[in-house]
Amino acid sequence: MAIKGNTELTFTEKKFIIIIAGTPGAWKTSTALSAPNPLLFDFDRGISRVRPEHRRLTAEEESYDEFLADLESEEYKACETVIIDTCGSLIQLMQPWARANDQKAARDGRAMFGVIKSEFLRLMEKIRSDGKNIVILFHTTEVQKGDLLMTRLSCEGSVKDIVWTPADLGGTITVRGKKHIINFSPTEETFGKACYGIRGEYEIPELAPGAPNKFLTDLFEKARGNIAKEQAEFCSMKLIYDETIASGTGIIAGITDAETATAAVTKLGNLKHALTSKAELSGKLQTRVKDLGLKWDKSISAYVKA
Amino acid sequence: MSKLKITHSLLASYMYATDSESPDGAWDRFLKVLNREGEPDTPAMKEGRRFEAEVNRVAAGYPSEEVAAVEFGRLLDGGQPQVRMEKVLHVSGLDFNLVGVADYIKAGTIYDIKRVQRYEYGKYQRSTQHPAYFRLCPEANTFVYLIHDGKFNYQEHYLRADTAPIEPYIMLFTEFLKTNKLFDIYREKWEER
Repeated sequence: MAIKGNTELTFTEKKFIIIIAGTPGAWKTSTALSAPNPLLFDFDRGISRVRPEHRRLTAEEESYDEFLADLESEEYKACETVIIDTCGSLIQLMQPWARANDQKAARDGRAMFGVIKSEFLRLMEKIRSDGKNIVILFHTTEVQKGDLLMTRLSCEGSVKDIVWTPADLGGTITVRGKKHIINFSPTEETFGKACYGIRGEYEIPELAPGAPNKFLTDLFEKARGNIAKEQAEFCSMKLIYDETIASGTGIIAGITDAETATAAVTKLGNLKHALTSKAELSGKLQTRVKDLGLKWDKSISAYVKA
Repeated sequence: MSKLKITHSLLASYMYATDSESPDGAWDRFLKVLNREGEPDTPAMKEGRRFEAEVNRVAAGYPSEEVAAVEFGRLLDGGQPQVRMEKVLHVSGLDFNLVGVADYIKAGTIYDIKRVQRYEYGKYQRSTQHPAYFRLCPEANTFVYLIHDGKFNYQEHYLRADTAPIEPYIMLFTEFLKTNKLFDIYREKWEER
């Protein structure tokens, strides 16, 4: 049976989808290669800029069909992480494929990007269902908005917008002096996606000769630990939440008039609340009293006929 | 004691009107909101309400042919729709009654359904909605925008820990009204006794 309650779930084998953005030279590829057992799809031909000892299995694709074929290879099956370097270049590689495979896309640029969008979602789902981590790299571009210079993902079409939905984490690398900082929290200037207790800024360690490259491996491990901790905390809260919602729903179902509605307010207040049970039961109460044509009279602290 | 009612929509309207990149008409729309003048529904507003109603139907257990509504409705199943919340805040020496209606609240998360014409990731990053609703519902730690552009569904997630408080927005809004001699209109139209 595949169906599990949210207190029965475990995340020890959890895989991650992470977006990393930054300008050229921000250490995007090196950082991506610090993920567990990676296979790099080097659409940007940038592997030469990575120190030789830190290079890993790399595919340099000539076409999108070749890329799809490599997703059936033994090397792909054996890897734990797929790196898309960069997503903007992958989208360019997909364009002739979309035009060749869809008549409307061949005639209409907008239709072509629609085909690419759907294919990109299918691709993400395939890699994810194959049990891989996915690291998606983007170059960045700067956009002036009023007084602010904002950093945006550089990529044609709307994949740069949909890619955030399946992603667990997303961060932009900025270079401050000699430090390379990735920020997972959204700021005025940059996008970010924080989750599983991974939020705010992290300094990416410089890779000295002989130094292990394991920034993302450690980050994923930390995230898994945080998920387990959050899950344990959530489970204990969820048990109280479920009981409180059930009790509160029963109390509200028993409201028939102004008197029972007023009494229900005290009963609901006395319940042991967890998560958002108080707000949710307040919403249920609002609906019930409205249906019965009652309103709260502040002067007597009681419900009366509206 | 009197309080000034304030909503995320009013703050959003003010921020939009004062954004240098907003189109013509943003200022006039803000003045209409400030004066609490209703505007006729646009087709986009009607479509937004229709989509939200369809999501609500799915969340309530009814079938739907609309894939986007089914996806969001299933996510919201078991949550509480339309939760009205209010909280009195003391800002800049004034009492404000912050009011908001959450589309859904479910097990620690607030959800808001958006039907848009065009979407770009980060659309809601600078919105006052999640700061306002986090203030209204202190038990919620996550706010999720569920966005549909007519073709695709998207989500934007915001965490309480990454969200600025709402009070500075209210403070700036108040100062702006006073500077532009609009505060008396605000008091006249939005004061609650």
